Order: sequence, then C-alpha cells, then structure tokens
Amino acid sequence: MKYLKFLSVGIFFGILLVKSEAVSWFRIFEMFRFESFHMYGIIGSAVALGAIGIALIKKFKLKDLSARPLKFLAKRKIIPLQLLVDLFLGWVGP
Amino acid sequence: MDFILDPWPWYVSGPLFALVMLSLTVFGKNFGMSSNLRTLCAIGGAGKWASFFKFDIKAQKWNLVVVLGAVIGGYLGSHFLQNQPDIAISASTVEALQQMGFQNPGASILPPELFSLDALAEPKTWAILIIGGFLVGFGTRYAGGCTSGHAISGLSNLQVPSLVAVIGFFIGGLIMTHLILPQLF
Repeated sequence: MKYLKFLSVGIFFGILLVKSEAVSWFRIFEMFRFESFHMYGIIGSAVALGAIGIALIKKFKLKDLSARPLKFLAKRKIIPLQLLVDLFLGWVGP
Repeated sequence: MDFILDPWPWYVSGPLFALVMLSLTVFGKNFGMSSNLRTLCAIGGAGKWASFFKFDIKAQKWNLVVVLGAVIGGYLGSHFLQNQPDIAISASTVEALQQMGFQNPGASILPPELFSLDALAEPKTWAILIIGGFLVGFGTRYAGGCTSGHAISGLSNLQVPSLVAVIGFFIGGLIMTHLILPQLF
C-alpha cells in the first residue's frame, strides 16, 4: 500500500504530539505566559534541526523517494539566519 | 520503558518534530496540517461556492492519511504510552488558572472545563469551540498554513512569509491569553 509510509509518519506524529505535550492546551497557555521553556525548546530545536536538514538536502541536491528533485515552496526572500537566532534568543533568552 | 512512558523532554521532542517534517520532505511532500481543512471542505462540496475549493483532491489524499495516522497515534499515545496524564506546568501557571476557576490545571492533557462532554451543557462552551474552530479554519487558510506548515516547515526553509505568519500567530495567542480569556472565565 503506497500510503503506508504516510500512515506510519502520521501515527508517529500523533504519539509525538501527546508525548511531547505540545498538543496540551495547558502547555500552550503556559507558553503565552512565558512561564516555561518547554514549548520554546521544542519549536526552537525543531526549527534549528529542520533548517540544517533542509540546507543539507539543498546543498547535496537530494532526490525524493521516487527519484525526483525535491521541490520547496520557494519564495525569493530568505530570512537571514542571524535574524532568526536573534529573535529566538531575544524572545526566550536571559 | 519509563523513558517512553514518561513525558518526553523538549530536547527529544523538538528533533523528532524535525524528523517528521524531513521525512515528509524526502517523501516528496510538504509538512502542513491545516491544508487538510481545505481538502475536507472540498470533499464536502465547497467547490460549488468558491473556486478556492476547486482543486485536485486526490493529490492531497496522502495528507489526509497523515492526519488519520495522527489521530490513531494520539489515541495510542494517550491510552497506552503514558504513566500518568499529568502535564507538569509551572506553579505560577497553575495559580493563574485556578484564579480563573479551572479546577485541576495540568491534571489532564486538556482542561475539562472546555473540552469535556459535560462542558457542552454550557452554551458558552459551544460558542468558544465554534468561534475558535472558525477562526482556526479561516485563519490558517488565509495565512496559507498553521504551526506545522509555517513555524516548522516554513521557518526551516527560511521563508519570510512564514516568519510573518508565526509572529502573527504569537501576537494572536498573547491577545487571547492575556486579554480575552480572562474576560471569559
């Protein structure tokens, strides 16, 4: 079944949402009150690693599983990396 | 097994969210949950009223399968993979919620005051859920994405529109948490 890989990723995603508590109303409420680092840590590390992963995929021009070049929803303007780091640290940093 | 049954710390969860996004990328797709709302409207026949909903539904089937998986995974995670359902929110958050009238903040994933069947006895709960649902549906389509599509996928790809959207989500969340919710409870 060609959708099996999507079902697997979805099941893993669902478990991850619960186990990370990212799906919890309480965690989101707490985040907007700046009373815990938890959600910022999740989003920050996800974006940091995600950005590294995407950069590597672009650098090595990786193909997807059906051997087509990977497409990205590419806009012309790119966020300067420094701005992203500054925003994150300015937001949650000491 | 405790490392699976206990809540996962952020430095484990965050990288795993990146892994989910990168897996879908390698499958030749984009990680984004809210585009499914558009697909569901299209399946419901919304194309009759707005051309926005006229598109190739079949091409989006994979994403509905991801959501189906997420529902199954959420059920498995909350019923079989948890030592206890407590969410360890900070003491000051608990105090703030108690002052608003929430009975046991953090004792479950979601507050029963908003998301239990009993809460549906109150017309206020219906209003909050329906208006909230409409705003999520309209807002994510107007912005072209939600937390998964813009914050995780978009920011990872260094997209300026995603940064603007995420800042917008955050301002909205702050307004809801600090100005509107205290009026409702």
